[in-house]
Amino acid sequence: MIQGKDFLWIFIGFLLLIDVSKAEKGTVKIGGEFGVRSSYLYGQDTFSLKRPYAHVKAYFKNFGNDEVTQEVSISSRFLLDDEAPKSDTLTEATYKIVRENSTFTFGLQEIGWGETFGIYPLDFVNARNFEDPFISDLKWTRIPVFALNYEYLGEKFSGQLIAIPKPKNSKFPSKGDTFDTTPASLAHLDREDMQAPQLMYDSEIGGRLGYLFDFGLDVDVYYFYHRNRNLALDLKNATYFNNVPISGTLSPVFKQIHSTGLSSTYATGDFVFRLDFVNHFNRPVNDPDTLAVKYLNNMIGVFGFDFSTENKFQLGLQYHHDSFTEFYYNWVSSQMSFPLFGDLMELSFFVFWGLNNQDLWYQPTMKFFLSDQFSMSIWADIIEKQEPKKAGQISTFSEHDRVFLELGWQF
Amino acid sequence: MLKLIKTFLFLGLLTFLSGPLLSQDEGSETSTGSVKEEKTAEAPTEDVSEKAPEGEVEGETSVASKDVGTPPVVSEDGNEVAEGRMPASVEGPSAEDILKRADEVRNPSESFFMKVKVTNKGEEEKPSQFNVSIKGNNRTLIKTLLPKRDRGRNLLMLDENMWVFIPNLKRSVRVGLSQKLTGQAANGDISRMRWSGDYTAKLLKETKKSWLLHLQAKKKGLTYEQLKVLISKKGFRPRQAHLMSVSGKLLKKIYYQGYKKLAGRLRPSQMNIVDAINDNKKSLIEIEEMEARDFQTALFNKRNLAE
Repeated sequence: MIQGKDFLWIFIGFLLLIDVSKAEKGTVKIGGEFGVRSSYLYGQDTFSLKRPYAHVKAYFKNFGNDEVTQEVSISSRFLLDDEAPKSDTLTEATYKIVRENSTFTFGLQEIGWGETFGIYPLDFVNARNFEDPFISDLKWTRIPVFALNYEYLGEKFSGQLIAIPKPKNSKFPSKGDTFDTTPASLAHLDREDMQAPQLMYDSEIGGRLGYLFDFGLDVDVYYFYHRNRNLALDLKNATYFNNVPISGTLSPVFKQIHSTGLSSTYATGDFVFRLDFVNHFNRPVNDPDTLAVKYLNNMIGVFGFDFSTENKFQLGLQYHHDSFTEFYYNWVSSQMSFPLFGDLMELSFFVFWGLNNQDLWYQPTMKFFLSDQFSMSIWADIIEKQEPKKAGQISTFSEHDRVFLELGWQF
Repeated sequence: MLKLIKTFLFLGLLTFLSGPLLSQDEGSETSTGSVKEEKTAEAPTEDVSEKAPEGEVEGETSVASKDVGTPPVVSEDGNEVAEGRMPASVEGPSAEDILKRADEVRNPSESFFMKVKVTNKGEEEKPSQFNVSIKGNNRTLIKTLLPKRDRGRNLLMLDENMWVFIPNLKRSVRVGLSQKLTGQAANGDISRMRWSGDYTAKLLKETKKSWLLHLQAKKKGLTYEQLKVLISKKGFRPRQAHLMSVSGKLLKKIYYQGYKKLAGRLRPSQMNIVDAINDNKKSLIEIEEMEARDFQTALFNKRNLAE
């Protein structure tokens, strides 16, 4: 079976076969990153991640005439850790046609929506890898999907249509995994495999419309009909003792849902204001008290601003709201960053603080730019519980503080 | 271990292959039509290495300290010439006309491409490099070539709005226009190359050699609210600019140097930017290539920032 990495060899062969020098006005770019990412998990006193990797991307452009531009992009991520032999991933394989204001992209791709940082409520076109909930880097967590993606790009007005014939399921921690969020009372139960989406039957479709007003306000509205990206577990064939299930099967629940959204930005001076809002209709979720699966409207919003100065000091503040018909959570997050020693080093600090729940997450980061190509990052995830507030969405991991180290070399 | 060695081998192969392939014309990727005029900088035909006359900015005696009215635009043979193409021999051009002529020195046409290198003092071994596509005064696309870690972080300016593409997010993010490109260079220093249209000009002082103009922003959200610009009468060449905030506080000084032939005429190939408070903080913007070029309007869209 052809694995992801084999596509790269195929591509290299393609590169050698085609006579690129004859592609008039053609542009060919090959680049990527080679790195090592590792993390040390306190509490268990062990390395939870030790992964050398390589991202490689090749890009061709302008095979065609002056009116129509054609582009081919291929990129792949190779995990070089022998403990994960089947983890090589083709992350992009697209063919793009650009004609005047229209762009049509066909193939395996990632489609990013939204304007806010840190938490990405509108970024749900692609399924996500939630096996490690604290790795929020979309480069690592978005799951590429085969899609037909048309965009109209006008001067003020823009629009987009997306069709995904066969979506992918999000990935979640396995039973018993460090970051498994299954409630303790159900953790001992067996879990069924996730049902694979079916071609066309589970297809997804949607799009957005955007407008840039003359006074600088940029607004986009979204609609997407899609498979839910969150994990809801339905308890089947349960037997109880003292109201506690002692046997049964947890079955992941997936259904097609409607989602609508809005994003907006406005810049004035050194301030940029941002808003992301999404409403998922009848989304399957587990009730936090009874654990039963309910179908609820889920509204998620992030509103904030960031401020930057000429010496590259940046400060951002955001308010987060996540509500269901019957319960809600809200948080405040803040991110601050500034350079040191010219552009040699960057320090940043992120905090995510629950207002009506226990969540409290700190993430200090140091990044060193050792050369034009070589960088090193050290950061920590420190999770605390704010007693006696109600349980949040991440406070359950308060025993799992970690330190990360990443080395990267760009080529 | 074998896997690691294999990875190094094919990465080396890719790097080897990318050498001749990348030698193709990268600049043409943004072109829609034929490339006009010369592309690369040519050796100057005259010595234009004279330094900016710093003393003239503050110590000149003025010949006229009020706006000069716009005279009829006539050539030496008495015939009228087109507006904006005044012969240098006509005395008393208005402040706005001087500004337009200075813009013509800095910009080859309404729509052009340039390759820019930015070097910060103390980091000369780590320059930044950008491909800049400009259409009019309100559309600029900046593609980052160096440093490699920032490759893909492309910037788009539309009117007073700016976005930067974040490769990890695979989407563009709104940023402020005054944000730094690198070092002392703000995004607007290379993305907005025309003063006329953005600023109202007033003639402050005039000497035998130069004009000193005061520029006041006409729009909100521009990189600098006020400027004082020294323009040499010889060829309407910008020499020096003092960049100021709303309150008139001096923020930066820019020296226009290295006049040489770019896109068919003598233009400043260097902008030396110096912090007003700490003159050890300097950045040098060098225009390595410049050519007039036509672009599709659709190119300047935030969805197109991804490579």
